Amino acid sequence: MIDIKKGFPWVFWPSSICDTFPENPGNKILSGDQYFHLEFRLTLTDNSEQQKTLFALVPRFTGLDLYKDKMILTVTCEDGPLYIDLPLLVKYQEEVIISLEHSPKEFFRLFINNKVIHEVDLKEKIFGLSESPHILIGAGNFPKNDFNLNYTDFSLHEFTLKDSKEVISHHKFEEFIFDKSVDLTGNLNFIHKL
Amino acid sequence: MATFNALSVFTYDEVIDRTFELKKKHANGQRYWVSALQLDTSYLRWPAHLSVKILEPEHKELIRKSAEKVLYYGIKEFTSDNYGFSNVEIQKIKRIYDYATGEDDFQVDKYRVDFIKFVDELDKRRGTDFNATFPELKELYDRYQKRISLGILA
Repeated sequence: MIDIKKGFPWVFWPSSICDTFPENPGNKILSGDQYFHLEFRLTLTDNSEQQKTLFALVPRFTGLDLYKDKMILTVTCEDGPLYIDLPLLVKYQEEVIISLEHSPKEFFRLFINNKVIHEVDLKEKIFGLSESPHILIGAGNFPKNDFNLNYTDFSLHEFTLKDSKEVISHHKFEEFIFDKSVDLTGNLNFIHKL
Repeated sequence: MATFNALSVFTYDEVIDRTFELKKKHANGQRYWVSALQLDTSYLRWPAHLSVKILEPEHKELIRKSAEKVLYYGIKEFTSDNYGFSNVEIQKIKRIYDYATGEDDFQVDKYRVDFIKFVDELDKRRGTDFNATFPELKELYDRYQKRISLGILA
């Protein structure tokens, strides 16, 4: 487990550590044209009423923001972003499993505790495409950009990323080297502190 | 700087570990350059009989293992508060694996025969024992030594 703290987000961006290795870094399957299933198991430890970004897939922003009495799922497609108002299902001090599933030309789904909360029909839409996608954890932007940060605090217990066949990155945050969490799959898809 | 050749494969992970120890030992925020020590890994192309291309696939996998180790010790930013391996240091080992496994017109059998002749001469002239020093290559040595004795490719 890691404690994500305000002002100190982490990032899933293994290709940023080395440009050429591993050959198929896990973040590449988030490029918008491939299947992925992404899962966070976390406990919110921030009781404030301000906007809180749990995670954000960037640069084509797709993320989940918490507000006082609602949450907004932002899904960016090639023709622009969708802002989806949802009831607040991530609550202070309650462990929750948040999953995103993308199937090109079919759907994009948000699950909370394995229950579908929202589905975007992608039969006539294309999920936002990017060559080097990455996931910010605990912020909506890079601290250096100084806007849309929306930091928050939570305990991240587990992170899992699957492609259409298997788990390609799995973290329980038990082993670290140089602020990098070691990928349990052995695929070297690290998550690191910014 | 290391010139990575066919005989480097079996102990390069030790070089990585020792380099890492030195990086750690001498890391401080006082020097002008970020890193106390950098591992610059080049690959040998000539003489071709010492190239990593003469190796068996399982030996080449050891190069990949070395690249994995150096990536494990990799730093997310090349700054003075990080003393692990940089992007460039990682890439230079990974490219040796790519070079070793890449398809080209390298004449593997010819250069393996030359390699066996080379190590035999070395043992003869310097009183060394190649097979005792590199038991990992004994199977390859025996196979090609037999071919030489039978006059195949010799």
